[in-house]
Amino acid sequence: MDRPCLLTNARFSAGAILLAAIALLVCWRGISEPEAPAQDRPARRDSQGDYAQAFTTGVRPLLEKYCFSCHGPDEQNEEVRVDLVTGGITIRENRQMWERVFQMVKFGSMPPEDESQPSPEERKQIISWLDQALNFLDCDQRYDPGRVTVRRLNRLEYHNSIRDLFGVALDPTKDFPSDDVGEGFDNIGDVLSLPPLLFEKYMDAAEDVSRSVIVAVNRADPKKQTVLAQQLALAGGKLAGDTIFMTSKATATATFQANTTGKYQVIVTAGAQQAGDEVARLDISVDNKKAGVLEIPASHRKMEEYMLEVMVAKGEHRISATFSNDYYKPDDPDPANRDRNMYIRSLGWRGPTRVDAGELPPSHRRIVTAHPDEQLDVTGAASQVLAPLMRRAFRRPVPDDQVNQYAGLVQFAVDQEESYERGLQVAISAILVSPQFLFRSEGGDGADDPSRVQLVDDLALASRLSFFLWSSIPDDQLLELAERRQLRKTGVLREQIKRMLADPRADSLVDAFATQWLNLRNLELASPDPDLFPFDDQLRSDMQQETEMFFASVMRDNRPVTDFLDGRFTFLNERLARHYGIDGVVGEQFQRVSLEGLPRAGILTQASILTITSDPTRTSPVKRGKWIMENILGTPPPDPPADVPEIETTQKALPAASFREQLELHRTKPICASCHQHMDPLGFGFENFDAIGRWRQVDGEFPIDSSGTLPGGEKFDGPIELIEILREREKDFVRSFTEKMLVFALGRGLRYYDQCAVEDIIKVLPSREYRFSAIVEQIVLSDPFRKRRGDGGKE
Amino acid sequence: MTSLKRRTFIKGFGLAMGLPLLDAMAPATGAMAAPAATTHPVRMGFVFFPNGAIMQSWTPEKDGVDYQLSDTLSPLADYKSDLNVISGLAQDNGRAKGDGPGDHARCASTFLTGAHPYKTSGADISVGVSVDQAAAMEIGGLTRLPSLELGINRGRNAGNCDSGYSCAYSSNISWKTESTPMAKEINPRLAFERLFGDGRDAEASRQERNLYRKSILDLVAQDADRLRKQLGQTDRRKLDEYFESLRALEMRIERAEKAASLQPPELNLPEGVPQDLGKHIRLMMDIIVVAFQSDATRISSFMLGNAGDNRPYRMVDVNEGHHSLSHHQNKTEKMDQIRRIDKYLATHFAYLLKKMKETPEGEGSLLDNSMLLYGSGLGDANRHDHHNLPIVLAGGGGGTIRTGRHIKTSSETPLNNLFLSMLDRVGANVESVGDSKGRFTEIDL
Repeated sequence: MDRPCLLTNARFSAGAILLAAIALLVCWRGISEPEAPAQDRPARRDSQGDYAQAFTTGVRPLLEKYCFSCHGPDEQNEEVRVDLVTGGITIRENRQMWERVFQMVKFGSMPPEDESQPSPEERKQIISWLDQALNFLDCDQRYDPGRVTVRRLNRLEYHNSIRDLFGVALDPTKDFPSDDVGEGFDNIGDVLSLPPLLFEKYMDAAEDVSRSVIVAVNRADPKKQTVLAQQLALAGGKLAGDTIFMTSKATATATFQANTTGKYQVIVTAGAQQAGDEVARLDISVDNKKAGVLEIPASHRKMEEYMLEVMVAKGEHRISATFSNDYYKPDDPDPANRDRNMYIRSLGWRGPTRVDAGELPPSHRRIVTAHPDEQLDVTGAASQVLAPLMRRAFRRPVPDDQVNQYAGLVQFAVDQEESYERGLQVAISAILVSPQFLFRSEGGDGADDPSRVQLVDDLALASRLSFFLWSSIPDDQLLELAERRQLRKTGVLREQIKRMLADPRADSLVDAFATQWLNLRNLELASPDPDLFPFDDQLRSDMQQETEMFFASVMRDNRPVTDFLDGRFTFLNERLARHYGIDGVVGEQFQRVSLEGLPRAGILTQASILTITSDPTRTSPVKRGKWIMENILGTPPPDPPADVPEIETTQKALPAASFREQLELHRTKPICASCHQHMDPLGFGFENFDAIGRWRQVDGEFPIDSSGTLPGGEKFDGPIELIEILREREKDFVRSFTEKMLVFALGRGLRYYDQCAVEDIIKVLPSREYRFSAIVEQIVLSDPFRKRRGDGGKE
Repeated sequence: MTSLKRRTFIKGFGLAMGLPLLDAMAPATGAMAAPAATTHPVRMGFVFFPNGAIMQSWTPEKDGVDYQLSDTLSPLADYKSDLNVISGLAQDNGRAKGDGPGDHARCASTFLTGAHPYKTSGADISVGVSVDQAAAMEIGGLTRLPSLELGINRGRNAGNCDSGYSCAYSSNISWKTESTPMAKEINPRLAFERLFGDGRDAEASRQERNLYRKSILDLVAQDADRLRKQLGQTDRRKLDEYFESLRALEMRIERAEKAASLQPPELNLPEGVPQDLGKHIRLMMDIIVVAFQSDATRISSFMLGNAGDNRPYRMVDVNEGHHSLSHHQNKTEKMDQIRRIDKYLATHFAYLLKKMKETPEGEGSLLDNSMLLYGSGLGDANRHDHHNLPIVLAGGGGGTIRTGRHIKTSSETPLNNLFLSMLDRVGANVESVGDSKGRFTEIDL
């Protein structure tokens, strides 16, 4: 049973005052008056005069009546004192405390239950005044662009940066701990921490990457590793003492580690009992692929070492030796020529022994552009190699003395009698654990001066752009433009945005932004009851792919973002189409499918979203409604009251009622109803979709009723009609989408002062038909994206 | 205390590079310091489960020595004389204190800290240093790894975790500083390799790697120093985290060089993360046992689930999510399912005790020289109680704990009082931790 009054996960924080304030208005409006049209957002203009008046005559007496006894001159519970305030300015000077007061009063947590309570009208009066006092902004004035805490690369950004730095497909982050999420995203500077475990993983990853991209013969590596017979894995043959005895076709296998890509020696200690015309042979395979053949002429009484060179990539490899030419002729007249058998004592591994220029991986050839010779010493050559790499890794030109320090590591390695290439590996490892790589710092003067507002420099802007649109480092073009200080020009920015959105790297907006905006990453954790629903990992991944492809198509085709609400198309393969009951889709491949005439549209009817908003055993209209309020309308319902009223009586009273009827009865308490009357109908509209997104007409014995009335009076019957109503609120959706994307783009939560920027962004959008690229462009051109201010002072 | 330590640490950073801090980190021997009495060190482990428990079925009826384990705790029967069930402890800072909902985020973040988390979904994350990290700060320098943090699930990676709290609060119980959670390892093999190496590197290449690692760390520390000077105050704190983690790695290298090469214990571990929950939990517990046994670390924390975890437990016929069920509204059918989860998890704690008890050490067992705390930061999850927490403390603490009892304490006794007493026993000289108001002498001999 849903408990309509207790919603966990409801969004609210001091940092999200703006969103919460809007949510609040929605809920409060719901109690006393019909939904106001969307353009009637909280008025942001007022005259300080009226407003001071409103305080003295209206609000102060209420505070005195309900609050002063515990938070006044005599007592200051929780160190909160509300009697000293004279108006808006004094409130803003003590913003942190007053935001808390605002929350408390708004949520009904204060005054405490056992104290006398303000009437709903009185409470509303206090709240709306506080909202004004705290959140009023004059957007005609220069406003605060905010400050982003230095951001550590998150897993995806690290992964993509390695890909783009070296042009290799590695998965260096798979063992990294997850990045903590805040404000709905995992790229929030304040939330990303760097505990010792992660630092160790960075070190390991740096070494793995540098050894993958550069090949070096390493002083320590050519030591031979040997696996004795007792430890070899056998298929056929048998172990006798310290020797493997193979009387017919048999294979011995061991696993070895190649620390770097290059040539390695496979060494077999073996002997054979010879017979027939051929010499006994061992086929050597690397990872089950035949790499060569060793003839073993030695006698089993006097075994010898045989060696085969193989070229392998960095990583673990299965090396096996197969006795491949067994011979058995029991009737041969010569008793010594009747049986050929193989004896193996060990498998060994040594390397890399040699690295041929022709066999060097492309990354090596790209990076190692200079070698020490008579004219160029080690540090000189290393500096030539490292300078361009450091520029890209650190996202800015690096002074010579710093490059020389890194080149010094190469010299240090060479001093230890290592190869030059091994030294480069060490230096590259250092680059990858440097804070200049791992942190996105933006520098600038006045770092601790909160009144200092400035444009971020061109190089920082290049990084902001590339991490926003590619979740990766800037490419050469961006860096060059930045170095020439051209990037800050609006025209140049527009062109770059266009180029960047068309680049395959922009797929990161799906991987990073879309999957988090839509909570799609939670699909991984969904666990529908297998007794009730045919759900498996294949279906899970199909669902995920549908939504990802849908988002990508809106982005790639630069469609209006309102398609997310009501686009009459989607992407299905045969399996998912069958899941939906849609005919005519054949095969494993996903294809674009029109939804015209079907009861599905946009993301809200996609199985992924319907599944993550369900419980394991059934749908949850409350969760679905809440999801829509949070992610589509941008009006997350406020947190439920702290004390959950007991509501189990309903089911006892009406055991025969349908689930919906029970739920509706549950929200008869006024305090619950104020928000549930918003959430629940939204969820009911999608009741035709079961907990894994299949269409249904009945739930058990009860026919589905997917009609409803929103608090504003709009009536609907079924999902499509509800979606049409949501579409009419496209402004709410576009605002919500913009806010989410702005959080993602900035790497920080929005504050009250970001409201002006949001207004500026969205007012341009109708003329651009809400196209995807228009939102991206307006975000990039906005003040919070292009400017920063110093730290400190009061937020 | 913590921030002061960090500041002085950072200030002296340039000089301290490369110098072993081992002596400075060694614990002062306190009055309670057990190691003086025995040659075996005392270890401390914390096992956290989410969503509280059905307390009626958890709490034994009688107290004192002559008590019967409750149904939920019956899997621990074989170890009844090795443990105390402790009822009535509270984590007061888990309560809203004016911050509204978010009891699950507060459940995890207060469990080992006893501090009130600042309610934020982003900026200014702050709670307090956790007991395991307070211990690691004092005695962590004596072992290969100062402390071990394990878990079953990664942090949740989308959306909101709990009512306006950043997910950092829900997915971590160990906090190195008030703002740095200690990320946990969820892959058993990687946890093992972190302790004992991957066994693939030859000694020579390990030495070679450590040589270069030290010069790399020297160099990037200079980078960080330079960078730090350009940053504002909030950003500087992020760089401080970098410094501390860098220093931790340096100390690991130094210790590895000094210590004799350790033969990795035999443990059969899969490559990836096991699908089967029970197997996953047991492997992690195996790792705690070998880590303690080999003295690779003396401190561990283990989250059986993140706060508010909503996984079903199909192995005990629970198909609904744990968190959803925990709001059971006193419905028998839901409470029965939660009971099955509670008991199932207790079975796994029993497995840990079994392993520890089967590991001989000196005259007794590893369990005799350890303190294993099993519990949650919520009592009755339906009411979101932060008092009357479900707590079991197993192990003899090196012969310093009187076991075999059900201790009923006056309600509102801070859980951190017990933590303070545990800190004494591992030789961490600390005067207070979180909201501790004194020591929990009820466990004394």
